[in-house]
Amino acid sequence: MVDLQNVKPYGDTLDDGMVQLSFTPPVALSSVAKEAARQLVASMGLDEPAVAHAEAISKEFSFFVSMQNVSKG
Amino acid sequence: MVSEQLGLGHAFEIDPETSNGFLYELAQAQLVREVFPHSPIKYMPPTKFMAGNIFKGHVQDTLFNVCSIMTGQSIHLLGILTETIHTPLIQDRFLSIESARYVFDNMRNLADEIYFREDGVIQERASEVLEKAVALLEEIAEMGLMQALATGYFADISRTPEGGKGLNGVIIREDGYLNPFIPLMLKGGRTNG
Repeated sequence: MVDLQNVKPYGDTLDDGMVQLSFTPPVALSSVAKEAARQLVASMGLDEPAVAHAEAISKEFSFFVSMQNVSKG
Repeated sequence: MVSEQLGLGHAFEIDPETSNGFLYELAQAQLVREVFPHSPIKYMPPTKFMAGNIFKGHVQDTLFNVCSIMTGQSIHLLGILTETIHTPLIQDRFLSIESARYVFDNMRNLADEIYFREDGVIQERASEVLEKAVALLEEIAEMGLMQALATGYFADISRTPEGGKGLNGVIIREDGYLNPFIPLMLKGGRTNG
């Protein structure tokens, strides 16, 4: 049953809270940038961030796609 | 079996970095359609070259949809943008269906409006693939199917008569074993229904 006072995104199962994000930090792609991206997502109050895609857009920009879930509805 | 009962599968699997790759995909899809006009063709989406960039993946799937509707494939398996990352989310499935509907409806009768020029890249590619396929089939006919399987003629995978898995799942039939379909199947016949 959906708890209408605490609705979360439905990804693959009810209440898994799955969210997909994409964003572009103005920094070159590196392992530091990847970890920073993961921490940035975690700081948004999202759980279990996993970077699915990291790509250099240019020398000064990187592009990320990440999967994570919300804990609060 | 009649052609109508013989389903055949193939896939949209050329490296997206290949210049003119879509033309080659079109050539192969059209070739399969023309060589087997009466068989249900199962056309499968890209998987090998799908990666974490879900937006690019969605575009790859869109090209696959375009290729499918342009060449009249009979059974179209939908590609989903996140399929290499996780079990597709419900919104991914929605996007996939929505995008296929958009392409199929917007381009519905495009195939009736076009033909491929005789000296063009697409026709040349189709001829080349067809010639190679015929040469391969002739080689297989000469050496025998089992030997060809063992040599790895199919998708570079070698399967020997003594190898493989599943033997421990094979059992000897009891005397009273009954499967009503086996005599019907062995009787054969070349009609539908």
